[in-house]
Amino acid sequence: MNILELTKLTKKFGDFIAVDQLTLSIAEGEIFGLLGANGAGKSTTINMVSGLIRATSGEIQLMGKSITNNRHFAKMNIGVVPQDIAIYEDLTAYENVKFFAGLYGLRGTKLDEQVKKALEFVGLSDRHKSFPKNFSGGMKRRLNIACAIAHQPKLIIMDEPTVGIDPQSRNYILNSVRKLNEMGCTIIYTSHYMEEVEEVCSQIAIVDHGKVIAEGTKEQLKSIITDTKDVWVEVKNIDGLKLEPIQTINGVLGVEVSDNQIKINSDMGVNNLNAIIQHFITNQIEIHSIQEKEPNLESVFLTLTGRSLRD
Amino acid sequence: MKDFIWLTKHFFSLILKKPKTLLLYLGTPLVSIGIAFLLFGSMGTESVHVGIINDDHQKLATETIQFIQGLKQMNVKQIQQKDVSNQLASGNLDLVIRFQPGFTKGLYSGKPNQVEVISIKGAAVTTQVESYLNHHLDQLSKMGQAANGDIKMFEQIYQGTKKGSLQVVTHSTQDESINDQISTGSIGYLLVIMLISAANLSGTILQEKENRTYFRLLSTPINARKFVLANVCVNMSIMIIQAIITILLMTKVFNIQTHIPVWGLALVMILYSFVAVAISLVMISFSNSSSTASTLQNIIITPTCMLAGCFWPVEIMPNFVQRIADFLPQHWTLETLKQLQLGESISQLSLHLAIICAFAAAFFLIAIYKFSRNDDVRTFL
Ligand SMILES: Nc1ncnc2c1ncn2[C@@H]1O[C@H](COP(=O)(O)OP(=O)(O)OP(=O)(O)O)[C@@H](O)[C@H]1O
Ligand SMILES: [Mg+2]
Repeated sequence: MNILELTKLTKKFGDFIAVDQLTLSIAEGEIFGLLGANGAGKSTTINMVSGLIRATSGEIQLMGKSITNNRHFAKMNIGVVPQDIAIYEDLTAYENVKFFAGLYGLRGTKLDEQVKKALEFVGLSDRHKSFPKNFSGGMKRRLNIACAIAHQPKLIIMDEPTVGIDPQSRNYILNSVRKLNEMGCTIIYTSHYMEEVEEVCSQIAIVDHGKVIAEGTKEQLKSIITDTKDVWVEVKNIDGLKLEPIQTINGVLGVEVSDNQIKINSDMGVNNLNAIIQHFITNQIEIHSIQEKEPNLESVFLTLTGRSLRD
Repeated sequence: MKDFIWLTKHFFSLILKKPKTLLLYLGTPLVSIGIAFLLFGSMGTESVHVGIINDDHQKLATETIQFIQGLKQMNVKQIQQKDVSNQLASGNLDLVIRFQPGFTKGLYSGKPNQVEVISIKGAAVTTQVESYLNHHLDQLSKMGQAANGDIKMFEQIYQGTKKGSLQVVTHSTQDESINDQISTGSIGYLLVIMLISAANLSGTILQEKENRTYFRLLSTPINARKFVLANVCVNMSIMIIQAIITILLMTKVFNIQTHIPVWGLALVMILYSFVAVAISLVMISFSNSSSTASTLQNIIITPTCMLAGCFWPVEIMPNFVQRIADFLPQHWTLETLKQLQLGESISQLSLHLAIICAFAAAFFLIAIYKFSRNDDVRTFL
């Protein structure tokens, strides 16, 4: 069953189309990655799903119900971890989570239990009496998550939950995403960190200019571009290297140079590594290292959009 | 509803978390009384030099002069017309009261218009004496109206009241009047304080947006309407508490009587707190950050309160400025309170009250219109 279905969802800000006829189905139990560069329309999509802004046109269905007619139902079943940290600096960690959970109607011991559970979950139990102003960036991010999960929503939407934090907190967060998923939550995870999405998401949609341009498991996405490979050659000194002859080597599709690295994109089916090495040797350019890289989501993204994910 | 109450409680607890702001909200009313005491309380200690020119020489002119002499801190002497400008210019006299021929006759028929007050010191002293004088003449002319030109009848009423209650009233007026000035003065400052508090409290709307918590709240069962409404509730409560504190301090601790019926006072203050909240919401709706909001507050609150007569009586300002006051809700609030103080009943003041309500309604509409035309999540609602 699909927990969330977006149909031709569109948002215009004046003349600018931020989300453009976006159609997407998210099955229950997934960790769904929404991948896109800055300004792709990820947050705008999420803001429409979470009821912050109204869609210009299109439909959003949560568990088969249109959210425009069932706003309360939708809000009760969704937990949003906003891109910008949204917590009260004057309230302790515990009070923050308690306040937000209380808005969903929880009271008394049930409230207390679930608040403690949420704090436990993000690893802030021992700091529950501290004020966020004394927290590190990573701890604030974790509290930001705790505030969204204490009411135990079915669908948790995380908008770039790992921006600007230390690796330790990042791992903690990625692990808790997996744990939440194991507990039965469906998770929508937006990011422009490829590695994260590759690591944690079971389904991925690539969004660009407000549209879904590719969708599937990471294997499916990679198979889109399995017909090419990249060979990276690092040399000691690039002076005297001519690029044109490389391009004429059988199977080579493109050559790019950055610093002392030469990236040679070529046809998967042709074995031309020898020819390439030979070229460097005959030109008396000393090779430091050679690497043949498997396609990753970064290259998928690059192939599909012609841009890299982060500028 | 449950979530609304939860949110309102939350707003209150955020205020209670900051003792400094709490002190600001609840301690300032005391300051308002203090200032009023300093300003108006001292007026009674300095004696006022009054020159009298009696061109009427009839009974009631003499009586009125006696009345003025009977006032506290009055230094009264008879002078000639030719000395007026001289005496005033040299500062020997603060003001001159001239009873024109026909003064007594005018009063007998209920028209107290044959009297002239001349001063150059500006109105501070004059208004005070004038208000006593007017009050006295008012009483007399009411008797005149009742007697309808019948001198015998007038005498009868006059003598009767002199022995009776009126005597007491006119004589106690002198103390009461300063008392009234302190109380309206305090309330004038209270209005300013309420407006500033309202603006501050509404400012938290902008702060919640800047801290992004507002947007998180919108993803919970709270919507924008509930959010603003909860803020308004908290705001109104704080202002009403301020009003209650001020009035209690004034009447119970400082023993200054307002001479305003308590229900009338309550009604006017509640209406005014609506106006204050509405104004503060308008200021918020036109600001896109809390710094613009506070600039806007500075530009709007203090000057309008000055013009409206919250800091000093409007009467001492030039005529055209007084006309501006008619467009300010603070002025109508003060005016209503003054009328209540003078003994008008609430029902006689329904027009005043309607005007205050209209101000509140107009400001609320502007705020709602501005709020509803804004869906920019990047910056604001
Ligand atoms: N209220 C608004 N008014 C006008 N334009 C807006 C508004 N909100 C967003 N946009 C524009 O819509 C586009 C999509 O923005 P959005 O925040 O959804 O991107 P994003 O994919 O979340 O990017 P990021 O990775 O930077 O968070 C951007 O070009 C942004 O400038
Ligand atoms: Mg975003």
